[in-house]
Amino acid sequence: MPGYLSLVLHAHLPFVRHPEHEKSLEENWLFEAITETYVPLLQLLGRWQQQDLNLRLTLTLTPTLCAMLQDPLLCERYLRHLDGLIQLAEKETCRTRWEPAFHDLALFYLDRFNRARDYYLACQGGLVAAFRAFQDQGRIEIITSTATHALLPLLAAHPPSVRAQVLAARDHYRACFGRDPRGIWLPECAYVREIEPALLEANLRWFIIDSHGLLRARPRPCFALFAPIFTPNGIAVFGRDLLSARQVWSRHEGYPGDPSYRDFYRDIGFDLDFDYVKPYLPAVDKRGFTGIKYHRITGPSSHKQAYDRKAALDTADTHAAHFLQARCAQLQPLAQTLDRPPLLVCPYDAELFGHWWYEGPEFLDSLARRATANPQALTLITPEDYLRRHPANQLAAPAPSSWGEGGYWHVWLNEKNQWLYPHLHFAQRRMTELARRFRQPDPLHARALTQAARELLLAQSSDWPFILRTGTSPAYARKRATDHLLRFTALYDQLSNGQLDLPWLAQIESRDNLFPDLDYRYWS
Amino acid sequence: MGPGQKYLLGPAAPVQHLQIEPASLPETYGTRTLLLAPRDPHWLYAHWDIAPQEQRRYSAMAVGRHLVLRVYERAISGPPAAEIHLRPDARHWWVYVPRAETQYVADLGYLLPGGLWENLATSEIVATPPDTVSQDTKVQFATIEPLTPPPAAGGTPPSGGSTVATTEPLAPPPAAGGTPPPDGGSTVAATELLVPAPAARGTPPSGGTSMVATAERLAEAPTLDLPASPPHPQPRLRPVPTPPAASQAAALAQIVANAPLCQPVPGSADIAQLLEAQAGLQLGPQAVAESAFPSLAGVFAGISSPSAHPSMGQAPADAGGQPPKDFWLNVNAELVLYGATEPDAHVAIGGQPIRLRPDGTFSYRLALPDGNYDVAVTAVSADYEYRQVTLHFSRRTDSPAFTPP
Repeated sequence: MPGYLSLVLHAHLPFVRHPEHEKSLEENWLFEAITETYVPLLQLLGRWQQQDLNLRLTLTLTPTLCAMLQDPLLCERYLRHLDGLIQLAEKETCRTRWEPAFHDLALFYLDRFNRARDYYLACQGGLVAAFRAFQDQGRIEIITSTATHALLPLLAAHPPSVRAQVLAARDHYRACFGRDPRGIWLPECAYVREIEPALLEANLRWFIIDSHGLLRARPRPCFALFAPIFTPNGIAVFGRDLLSARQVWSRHEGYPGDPSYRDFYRDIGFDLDFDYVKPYLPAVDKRGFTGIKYHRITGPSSHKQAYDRKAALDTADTHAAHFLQARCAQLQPLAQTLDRPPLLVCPYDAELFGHWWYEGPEFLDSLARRATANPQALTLITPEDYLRRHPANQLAAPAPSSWGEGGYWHVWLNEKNQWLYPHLHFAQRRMTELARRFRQPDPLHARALTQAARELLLAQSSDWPFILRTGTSPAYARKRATDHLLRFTALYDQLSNGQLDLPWLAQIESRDNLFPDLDYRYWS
Repeated sequence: MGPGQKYLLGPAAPVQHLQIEPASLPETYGTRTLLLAPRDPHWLYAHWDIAPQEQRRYSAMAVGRHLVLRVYERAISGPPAAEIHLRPDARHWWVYVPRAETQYVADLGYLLPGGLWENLATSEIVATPPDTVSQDTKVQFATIEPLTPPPAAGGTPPSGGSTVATTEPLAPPPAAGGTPPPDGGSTVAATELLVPAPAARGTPPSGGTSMVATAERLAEAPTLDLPASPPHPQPRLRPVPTPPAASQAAALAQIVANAPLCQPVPGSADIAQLLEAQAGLQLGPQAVAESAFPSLAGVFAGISSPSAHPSMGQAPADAGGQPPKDFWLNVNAELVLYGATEPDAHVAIGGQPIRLRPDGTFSYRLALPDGNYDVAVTAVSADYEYRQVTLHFSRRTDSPAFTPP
């Protein structure tokens, strides 16, 4: 057996829930991901289970994502969204009757949406519980992340904030999955040594960093990226494999850009008569994505050919074979060099598979089937499995690092989002001040303290500075970060002057309602 | 009540929207503090919390009428690594520092006539990350106790483990409280962090051992009830013999020589940056934003082609993704069939059943490409009366070359 391959899918969305609006554009992020990624992934796991394929997959389900998947309002809105999609697909099967290629696709979408609805109703909207069941059966390993996907290195100057992000995530994981998490997905793979005490307190035993973070460890890791190291605190650190990352992520070489795959941006929400698609758009007054797309990437010209589902699936199968072959070629010489089977750790954003890369779940399916059919080539493994089989690893201190542009904190701390950093800095210290001042609060003050902690956690989300940096919806990100900081500030002022505004408190409790059992004392 | 249900709060928000919080974030918190954060091996972010009017007052007293930010290595002494004469209205600054893997501290102040330094605020000490591979190649292996046994269900681990031998003593851990020290430097003894190897039933202290034995022993450990784990467990590192790492490191260096090992690999955020501009050319940032997950916003513009789509609200683009300069026109056609019958009748268009509105009316769209078409609309009443209407359509598109008048 030449080596191991560890596939890690990181599923995350920021907490977006707007009961104050009848329809929210940003809530669609969740709805699209459920239909195109989370449900297909669960269906895939179900098929593997039925066929007794023993495939070890690691999955992050972040606390904010779990909170949204369990929220009754969002569940009800998702079903309404899905019903709309089904209605639109039904109309499309009629509208396209004189366009055979599109007509077949309309039937395909109608079937797909109906299957998603059937699955969702069958599990009563309990997608988190469905993932939990697969973990309980030993099919997958679910790891946690920080509470609101905060970039820990930028909180490291305030250890109580790191601690609260980690322990709140641990608590939420326990509630969702009935056990303690063993691994943690560090948001954006961002690591500094100062976060380790909080990880130890939460009994978290391993995490993944980007390749340069491992390769620049002190002393130099003798097995490079192909085995984990132990930090001096005894936490295992796995490094992201370089080549497999490029094979999927690269725009020029990456699989998702193949001409036969579905074109993400060519959507009937942009193509068809506005009045016709208007009821199904994410926002009532502007064009947007519906999820029904009839074209394939085709090539560089503006002419797009109709999407051929079978051809796309054939390509996904070919890519899976190529990926596997490339990994085996990568492992073979390593296996002859190392004294143990080398390990390739391949983490990806889960939403890549299905939402952005529509054929991604089928790629995963083909890859997993091929790998299990040929166990002499490589073994699929989780990082936790690896540590059980190879409990002795090198001691080294990993280097501060993140994945992504620049390899450090540039994406989350730059000219477009630096204004946020000082406000978070002072809010964090104020939260600690409150936690230390109110040791034994009455129930009303405890509610206010807990809500202040929630607002601070939400303000710390790395998603807001990320969006501000990329410029995709900066107004929304700015408003979200600002709103949470303002609510925190108002609560701080009210707690400081002893005058709680209870109706307002109830309102923001019902709006920002995640982590109901949050322990604000983590900040003390 | 299913898993996690106890964490659900009521779905309904109060109808009335109360606005209690302040309208905007404060300009200052009045702390007169200097924040310093490393952004990467060579850049620091500095922000000072001083009210603008106060900053103007200090600037007015300063030589050159501006404040100065000085950044020092390790401690405020000797010549600064960087000195920035700040713009009067500056509230933050990006500071280039020459050395990675180094501690820095910043001082904000101003110069009085005569060269006297007036300090306003001093930052905490921060450390820049390393940007090179370590030259320290000492190797020490350890294992952790206790390891959690495998879950109740799941895969059967393949055989693993190898026989290894000790070649090196413990590598020193990095210094506490700061950046990992330069290679070879250490202020904390390794033995403070590592649990000595047990005398019996485990790995011998030196001279070679089988990791299989360790793995087997750990696999035999009783199953832990995870929720009942101690509140503050500390993994205990136990040194184990080390494989002959030097030769392996050399071989590995050869294997990965073709890869830019220490160049960060693209991730979701990174590719978003690379492709966001292209996505913007296609649909505009707003269009991308409307359905782009934050974690991957714009990442897979590459999943689409680089050219624009001839959608109804969008100009086509050339193959390079640039919007055309010429006037453009997209035209398409659809049919709308509409009618009414008894509300309890069954209606089909071209043999495909359709839904009636409660009042018995219906309307349906049909894409109309070039060609000739017949469509039969049939209705069957509740008592099986039958009606049929057949409509005939033809479409032909002419797109003559444009001739200026």
